[in-house]
Amino acid sequence: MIKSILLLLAGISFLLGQTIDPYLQHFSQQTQLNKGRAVQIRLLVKGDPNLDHDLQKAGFRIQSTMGSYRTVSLPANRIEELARLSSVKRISFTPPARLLNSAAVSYQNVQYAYNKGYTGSHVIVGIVDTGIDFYHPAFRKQNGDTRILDIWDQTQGTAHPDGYSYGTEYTEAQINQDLQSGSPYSIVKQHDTQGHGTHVAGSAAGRDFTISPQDTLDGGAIEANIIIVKTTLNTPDILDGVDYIFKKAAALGKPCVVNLSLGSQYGPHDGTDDDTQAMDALTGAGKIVVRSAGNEGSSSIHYLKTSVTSSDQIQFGYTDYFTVWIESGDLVSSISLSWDNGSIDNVPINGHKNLGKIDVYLQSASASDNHEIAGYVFMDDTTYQNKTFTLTLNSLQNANNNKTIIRHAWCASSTISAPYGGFSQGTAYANPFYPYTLANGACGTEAITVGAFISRESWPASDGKTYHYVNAGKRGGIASFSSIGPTADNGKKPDIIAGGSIILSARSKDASFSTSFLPPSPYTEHYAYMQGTSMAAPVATGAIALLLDKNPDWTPADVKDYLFHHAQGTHPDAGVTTDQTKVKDDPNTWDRVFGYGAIDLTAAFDAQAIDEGTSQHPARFTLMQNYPNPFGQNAPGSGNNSTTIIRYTLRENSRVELTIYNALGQLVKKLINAKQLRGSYRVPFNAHNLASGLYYYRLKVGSSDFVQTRKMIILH
Amino acid sequence: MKKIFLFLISLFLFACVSTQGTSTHREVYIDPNVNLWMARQATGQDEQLSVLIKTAEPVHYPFLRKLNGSFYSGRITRRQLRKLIKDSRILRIRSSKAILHNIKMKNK
Repeated sequence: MIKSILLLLAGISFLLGQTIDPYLQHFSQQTQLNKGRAVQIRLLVKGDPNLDHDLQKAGFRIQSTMGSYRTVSLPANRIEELARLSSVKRISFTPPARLLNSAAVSYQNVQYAYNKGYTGSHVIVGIVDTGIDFYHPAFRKQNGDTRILDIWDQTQGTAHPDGYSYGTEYTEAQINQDLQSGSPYSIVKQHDTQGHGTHVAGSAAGRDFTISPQDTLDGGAIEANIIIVKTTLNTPDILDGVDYIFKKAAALGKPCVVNLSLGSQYGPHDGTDDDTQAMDALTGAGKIVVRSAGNEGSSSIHYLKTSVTSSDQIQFGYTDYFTVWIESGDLVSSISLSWDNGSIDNVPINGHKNLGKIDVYLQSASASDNHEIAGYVFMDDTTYQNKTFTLTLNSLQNANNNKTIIRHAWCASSTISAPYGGFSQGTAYANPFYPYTLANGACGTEAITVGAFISRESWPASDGKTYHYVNAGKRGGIASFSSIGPTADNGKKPDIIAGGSIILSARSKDASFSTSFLPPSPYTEHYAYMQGTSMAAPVATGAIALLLDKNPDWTPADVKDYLFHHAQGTHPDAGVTTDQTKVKDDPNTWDRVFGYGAIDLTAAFDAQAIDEGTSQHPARFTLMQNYPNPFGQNAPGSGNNSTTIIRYTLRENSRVELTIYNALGQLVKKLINAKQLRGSYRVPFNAHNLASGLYYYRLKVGSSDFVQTRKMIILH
Repeated sequence: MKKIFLFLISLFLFACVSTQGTSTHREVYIDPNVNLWMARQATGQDEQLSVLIKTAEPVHYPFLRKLNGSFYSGRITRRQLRKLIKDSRILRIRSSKAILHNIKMKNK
């Protein structure tokens, strides 16, 4: 039966001059057709102009249209019928996503770093989080010893680290003693009962020698040493934790990147508050802090109005805290809070009033470095949980005469009432993407702030079922929870994005997970799925550790300069939109949802990326035909390689832009945007994440009128 | 002459008295979270709060650790907090708490 179907497919293919993807034939043989089950699959179909007509006539459902390509969803037992259509020229079937963390990690082209020997071995990765399962194989060397240099458990004990007055420090030697003792936790009495820190550390730096192949669930910095701070989550303690890690790294003479997958909405969201400034001040050359953007991208936690008015009323539901900030130079005389059967009236500047456990404060402009008057409400009485509160700003004055009174407000949780302030959310992104929802600390100037894109839409679980992410957009689109910029002072944040949906990483055995969030055997024991910008940040942290491995003196500004100028988009079908998703299609350009895009390490580690052959003295500006061309996994002579080389010459020192466009003229990638010396250059271009088709590459030389465009063809 | 002398003396004394209360006074801005802790949670003498302090000039308290620049961190009791509030070199006293940025997964 199987053979007959395959023979039939092959025969149809041969007769009609079609190409049927080898994986599809393999899939047909191995699974669905064999069992005769009508499992739904999704294929990429290339055809002639009659394709739409034939597909519709045959009752096939077209999902997306991309030039001569269509995605078609159909039962597996109808492949044969599809293949018979004369307008079908090629049928492709992409293997399902592998069960990998590295779906998110490898997207950043970390392999380029590994190929050059940069694995993070000269870098410290610091994690300030909920602790770590230090018995987990992802944090142990091949000989079983730990890769963890220190654990500072801030939450308990009296063996404080030097210079700190709380918590307990465990050294590498103590961790190894515990691992070898046969009596777990007899020496190192630290557990990760929430599982968050272990998962985060796995994405940033995990490598598990007990699984095969070994790179299956790697984090980014696979040979980095790790320092863990199990934090209380109090912000001053988090600052102490970062300080502790940087000091340890400095003592070892190593650069360090610290991951913070945590934050709050408490503060002015412009980087001027003490918590954020103190964190910024900790960073420097070889001292990088990576922060998660926050998970409020779909949450109505923020209010904004700018109109000049004599009073304003903001409605919100029960929240642990609420803060409102009035534009610097403008005035408010007092604030009042009311609800159905109570009120706190006219709290003056520098005043405080309360009713039971509802407290209202109003602080003067001089209390903050952004010189804004700030109002605070705190609620600590759950009997008020179903009430609606109205905060009134009394006697507002446009005292700085700039014709606006900008007033931002944030809640701890999603409680701001509709309508969403008076703020236009713009047209680029549909609801529910809410701007100004970054966490307060994520707005820091020196932090590298990471949002999350959808890196996995469905996942196989230990219970034998395959689950799908509710309300998912397209893979490559923004995750609905990822907090959106800009900062309150319209600063460009988030900086970048990384995969953050349904990330498979290290599982703490002391944390509990539902079976639906555990992967199938043999990964069930040691791995689990989690999601959030918490999970995206360490994916970026691992990649940034690899950058530091090569460039140990890089400052946060240096790291950002690289990331921003070499970002990549997040979907092969760049430009495709769905109801809730706009796929990042313009790398190197900032927007409030995606930042500059996803990390791409290619240029940092490919020694041939820029060949500054100044010994040659070209007489002309030239752009040569790329080689090989066509190129890609299915291109003859490409050797299953998705990389081509673009060569050009510069007759004088120039500002150079080398840019890739798709057949529609849409920007795909800026390969070079820099000043270069006179000489000959070879630039590799990896198109593994681009769809097959015709593309253009253009060289523009700033010092002259030289602009030249050539074509290239990608065949996957 | 005597009247002028007395006038100058009284003017000097007045100036001394009138500037005494304000010459070194600087308001310490206390984060509302800290005030709330004082009012609600700090029930015991030994109970501690994690704080971040910003100062106008260097300070030396055994319970504070210099973090960087003008920032200090520490875990302090009510009594220690009261001491800090009276110190005119202290600009701000803050305390806040973070949450984890993972999000509950919903499947279908």
